[in-house]
Amino acid sequence: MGARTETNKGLEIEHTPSSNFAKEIEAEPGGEGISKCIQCGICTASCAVSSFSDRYRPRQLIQKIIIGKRDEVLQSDLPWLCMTCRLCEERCQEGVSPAEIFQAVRHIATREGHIPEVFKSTAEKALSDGWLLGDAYSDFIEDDRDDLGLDTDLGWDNEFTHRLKKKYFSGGEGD
Amino acid sequence: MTDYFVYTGCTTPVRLPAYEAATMAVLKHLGVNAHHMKDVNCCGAQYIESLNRSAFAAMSGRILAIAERFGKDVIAICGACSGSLKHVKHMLDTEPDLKAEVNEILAEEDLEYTGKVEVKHLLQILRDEVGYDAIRRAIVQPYNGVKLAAHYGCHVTRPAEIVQVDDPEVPRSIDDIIEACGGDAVDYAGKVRCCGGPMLAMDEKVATAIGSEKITNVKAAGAKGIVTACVFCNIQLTQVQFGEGGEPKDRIPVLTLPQFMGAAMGIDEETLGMPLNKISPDVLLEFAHRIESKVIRREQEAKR
Amino acid sequence: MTIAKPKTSATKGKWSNKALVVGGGVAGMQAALDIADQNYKVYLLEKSSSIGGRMAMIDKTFPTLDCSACILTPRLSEVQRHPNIEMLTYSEVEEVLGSAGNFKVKVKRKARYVDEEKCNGCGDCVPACPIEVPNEFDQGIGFRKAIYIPFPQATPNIHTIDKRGHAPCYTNCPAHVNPQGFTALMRSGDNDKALKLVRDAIPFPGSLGRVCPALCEEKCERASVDDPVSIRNLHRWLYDNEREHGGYKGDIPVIDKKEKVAVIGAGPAGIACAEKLIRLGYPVTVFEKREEAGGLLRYGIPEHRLPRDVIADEIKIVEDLGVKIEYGKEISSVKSLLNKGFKAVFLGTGAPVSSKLRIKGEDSTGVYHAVDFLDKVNRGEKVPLGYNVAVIGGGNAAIDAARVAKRLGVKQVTIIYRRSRAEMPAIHQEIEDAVEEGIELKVLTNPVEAIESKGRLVGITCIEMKLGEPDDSGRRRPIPIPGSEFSIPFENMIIAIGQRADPKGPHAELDMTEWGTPEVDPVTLQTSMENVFAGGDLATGPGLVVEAVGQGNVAAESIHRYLQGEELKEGRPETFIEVIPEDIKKQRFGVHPRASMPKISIYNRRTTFKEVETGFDAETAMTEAGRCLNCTVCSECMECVEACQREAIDHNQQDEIIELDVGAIVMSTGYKLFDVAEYPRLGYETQSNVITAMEYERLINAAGPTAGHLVRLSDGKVPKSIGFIQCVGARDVGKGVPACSRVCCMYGIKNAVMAKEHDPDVDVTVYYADIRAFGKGFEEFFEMAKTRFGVKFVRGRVAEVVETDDEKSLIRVEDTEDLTFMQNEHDLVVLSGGIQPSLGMRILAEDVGIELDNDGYVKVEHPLLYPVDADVDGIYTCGCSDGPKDIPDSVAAGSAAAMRATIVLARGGEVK
Repeated sequence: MGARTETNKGLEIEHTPSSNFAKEIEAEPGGEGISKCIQCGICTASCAVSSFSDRYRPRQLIQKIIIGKRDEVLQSDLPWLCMTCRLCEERCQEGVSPAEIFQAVRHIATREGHIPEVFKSTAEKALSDGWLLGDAYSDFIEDDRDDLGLDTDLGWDNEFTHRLKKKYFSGGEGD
Repeated sequence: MTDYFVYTGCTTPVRLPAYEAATMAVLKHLGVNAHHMKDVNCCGAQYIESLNRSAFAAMSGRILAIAERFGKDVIAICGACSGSLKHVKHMLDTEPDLKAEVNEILAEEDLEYTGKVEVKHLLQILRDEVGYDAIRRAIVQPYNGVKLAAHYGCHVTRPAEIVQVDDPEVPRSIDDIIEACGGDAVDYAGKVRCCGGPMLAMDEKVATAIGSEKITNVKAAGAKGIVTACVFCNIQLTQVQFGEGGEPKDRIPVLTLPQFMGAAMGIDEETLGMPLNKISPDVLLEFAHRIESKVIRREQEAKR
Repeated sequence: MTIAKPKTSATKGKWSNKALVVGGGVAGMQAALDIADQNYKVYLLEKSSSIGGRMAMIDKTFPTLDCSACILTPRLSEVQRHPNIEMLTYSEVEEVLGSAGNFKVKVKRKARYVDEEKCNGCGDCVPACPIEVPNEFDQGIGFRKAIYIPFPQATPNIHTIDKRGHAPCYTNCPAHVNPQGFTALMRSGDNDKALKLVRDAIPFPGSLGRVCPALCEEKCERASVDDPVSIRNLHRWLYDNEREHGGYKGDIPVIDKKEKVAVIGAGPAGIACAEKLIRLGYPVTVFEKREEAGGLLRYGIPEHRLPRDVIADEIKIVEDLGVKIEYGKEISSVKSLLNKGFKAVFLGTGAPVSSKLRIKGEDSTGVYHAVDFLDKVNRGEKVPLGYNVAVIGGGNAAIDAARVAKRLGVKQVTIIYRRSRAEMPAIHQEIEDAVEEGIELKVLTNPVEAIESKGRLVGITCIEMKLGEPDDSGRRRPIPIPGSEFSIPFENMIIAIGQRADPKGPHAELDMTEWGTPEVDPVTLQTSMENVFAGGDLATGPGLVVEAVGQGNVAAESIHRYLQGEELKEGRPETFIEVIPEDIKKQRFGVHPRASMPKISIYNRRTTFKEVETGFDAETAMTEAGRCLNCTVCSECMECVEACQREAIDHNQQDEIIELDVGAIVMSTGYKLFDVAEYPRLGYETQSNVITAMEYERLINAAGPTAGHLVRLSDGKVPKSIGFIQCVGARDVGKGVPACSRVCCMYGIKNAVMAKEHDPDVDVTVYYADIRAFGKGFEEFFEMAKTRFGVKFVRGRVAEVVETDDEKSLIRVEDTEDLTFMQNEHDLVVLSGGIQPSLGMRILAEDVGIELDNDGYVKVEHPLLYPVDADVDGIYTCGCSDGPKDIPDSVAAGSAAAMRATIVLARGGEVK
């Protein structure tokens, strides 16, 4: 049904518009408001990333979700370019939060294995060390802390994050 | 006033320890009992947050539960941490299933999140707990009218209904504190726009362009320095001034709020970690220490 | 299938066939005309001072581009001329009781302070009025006077005075000087009239302009913006200015009455009373026991504050008016004066006796009382003072004594006061000036013993004080700290802790109070003898000069009424209506600090008695006068009364409540505009070149504040590029206004087209989410805008308007049709604001007894079947009362509501 093309990954993408993906997003926590979008563009106009990027347009990304371009959206890095600054959410006159919607997209994308490398590796660091900057904590910085009268033992706990990794991230799938 | 935990987050202790030291010094000076938190973890902002919602709730939820165990409320000094902790608190308070899920994991450590812990950003403590009058009374070396720009940071003030720190479009608390310390807070284009920090992971060029635009706008308004309330914003707005084409003499200092306040309160520069600032704040401190300084005289000469 | 409407329960026989239309916009006017044309009487009620509503404000209408005023004004005439329509403008509904056919409506007719029968709209009053305030009809861009008509074709063509109460400066002045009035007259260029207005209250604008603590300034509303207006220094300037340019220019009263009045004491109270009486035409003689007049103004206040020649000149002016002052004449008996033929007497002999400290050694040589000390110095007598002088007290007398002592060469002057500096009752500027001159303040210190040696003062033992709980006066009681005594060497002590009336004197013939003052009626100042009155320090104990003057005024009025056989107490004391701070228009006032008073050098201040404050120059005075906020708008300066040849102005008019019997009511209350300042990101309040659509309408309107020239408000230049932003304050769930306002797309396009009509070369862009061009001719109008006029349309809601360095406005928007992130610069940005239910609808609906829907509009009975019926029988709705509508739909609804109403009127309340 409908036109199909093949991507370079060998996946078939359906071009017939469908509201299934929008409904899927609606059911995902954070994505509930997507049906209210009237595509006015105030989100893009408020977006600092859009002002310096030629390809990132939050309104257009939502448009793609609304018309059902599931594979394109989930495999794209565009949903990961949102800085979650939430100015779009603040200004949208229809009560839509593109930032929250893109978080929902990211969660689905994660479940299907589409995660940008930097997110994957940083998350892995957080889970194994319990915090993000274990590698950056050099002797020089330890000395600086000492001079400032601050505790040099930062005391991060990583047992908890190990348990989280086991529960939520083993096998790469979510709950 | 109650006792508070200061949650530093991952970045401050390593990338901006001066912010941590200045925060503790200023809070102590103003009579707020603030303690460090031990054995905590990353709040999960941005990275875990984007991958799995429940894991994110658990990361921040654990921090809240630990604070509850010790009967203290949490003060966050990083915008991202503030946003995460407040957001997760809201999620756990309004979604019983999620709360149950998180408490199940926390139970393994005998921790529980009930909801009685409050999360505040440093700005809220300064404005609401300490109050502007007390801050004014603590000032011994006011800034004598130097023009400064306040940068709030997105996660500090938005989403407004959840974080409830300040007005999302016209925030005032940092500006008010600048004025209480004797400075002249100026408005500038794009004041509530992001610093670009979160974009560093995916596209450094765009991140730098966003941050640089903010510096341009701040300078166009005549400000001689920026006062921040988030470690990430502070690092980003400092860093973008070291890019190509940036002259050292054109760089304007980016001070964290407690460093800014502490200098006016007479706390010594070493305690505030001023020597560690990548862009020296001396030009601002001159305004504080001397009424007629070389800097002001030079400016007046230039005007004639 | 129809739905039967329930029958009404009007009592037969009591049914009214009159109608009430609430709201005089185009819909209400239509309804009124249609009902009236069927021979029913209609009351057309309108809360503003003229009918016409919004149509009178806009320039052209869509989609026809008719001139709005041209099609509206014939209607205004028709309504006015119609024998069956009675207009009740400047009126509001208070309450509606009853039911269809039999409504009892209470209406409040607000006071316009103009007689509607007498005013013929000639407008002579307008140029006479000195008050200018932003004009609401012109959306605050133009100005109007306090007496005004909102637009040239206002109907009825009757002026209205916008008076919001009494200004706090006026009510707080004990003599009721009218600062708002006199500063307004100064601003309008008439200093003579300004000074005359001041002299209506006080005879000493120059002297009080130097010594008054300015209670007016304590309440000045300007302080809420920056600092109070420097009122005292302004009326000082008026006097100084007159004196510089030839002296008194006012009228000389005619003495046309026979009854002689005597005044004992030529101090502030006595002179004020005499001056008022002479202006009323009475022959007045003032008896002053000393060689010169002025009382404490002459003998108490030092020369460096009030130069001798100033008070002498002001006394002379009073004498030139016809008041006889007999110097060196001491009167010991009031009765003796009455026997000599005076018909009434005013006693203003003051309170010259200084209070004692009651400490040991108080009577040693070298101890003076401030009153005597200052008196001696002011008479030119020498007073021996040593190296070290203490002044005890914290009031103006103490400060005066201290500053005089300094000028007489005393090296060390110390003021000793028992409370803290903040509680010193003296004028704070005086305290600062004293400290600047090198006088030391020892606060929280009280003298306990004057140490004497061989009868001479050599020092004072003092004790330290601390502040305890407040006493009756509200000030914290000073408590001595035991064991903290210490001694300081002093050669002189000047006591200034208070004064009392002298128990001996002419007032001894009257009933006295326990404090040795004559008993007086607090309202009329009448004593125990019916034709004898007393005021000033004598009656109240030591007070301010301006308080004494105020009492002199009161006594003069009492004496006048007594002599004319009128009721003394009627209408007194005058009730004041304090203006509500919320009513004061404070927007658009930038911060502009108070003018500072130049002073002579510290050296001169320490060594001479030259006047310390040298006064404003004309430019400073005018600028300072311009800082008045015009809190109450009309200041009751009475210039309009003088100008009106038909005597149509009545400042004492009151609001009136009338009752109407009507059978049906039509609600046509119109709309209010969304306050676009709620979008700080669009820059309305911070950028002067971002304006609202209605402001734009006034700018392009030939009858508007710029005579139809579309210019930028910041620099008056013609904009070369204009951006119109749609959906501001409509279709926004975040701001609580999710509904579409229906008219903004079309009026936005109309405004864009008008910009092109004014200047075909101007670049015009409309930024929108949708273009809702649903009505007849609308789509064609939209097409014409694009093709014939070249208006550009960008589909994208605007996020921000940023001001650029060269005062242009930068719009940040996404062109959603080609994915461009645009940053477009414009010279002028117009925000198309949404419309909202009229202000006060909630209360009005309650008063009328109808329901409103969730958006705050009148709820209709059924949107399809009964679209012009409210939810109560006999009450109908049209125009924007029940929701946004354009003009054709409003007019159609007006006729429809008229029809529904006349069914009730015709059938005695039964509705089928």
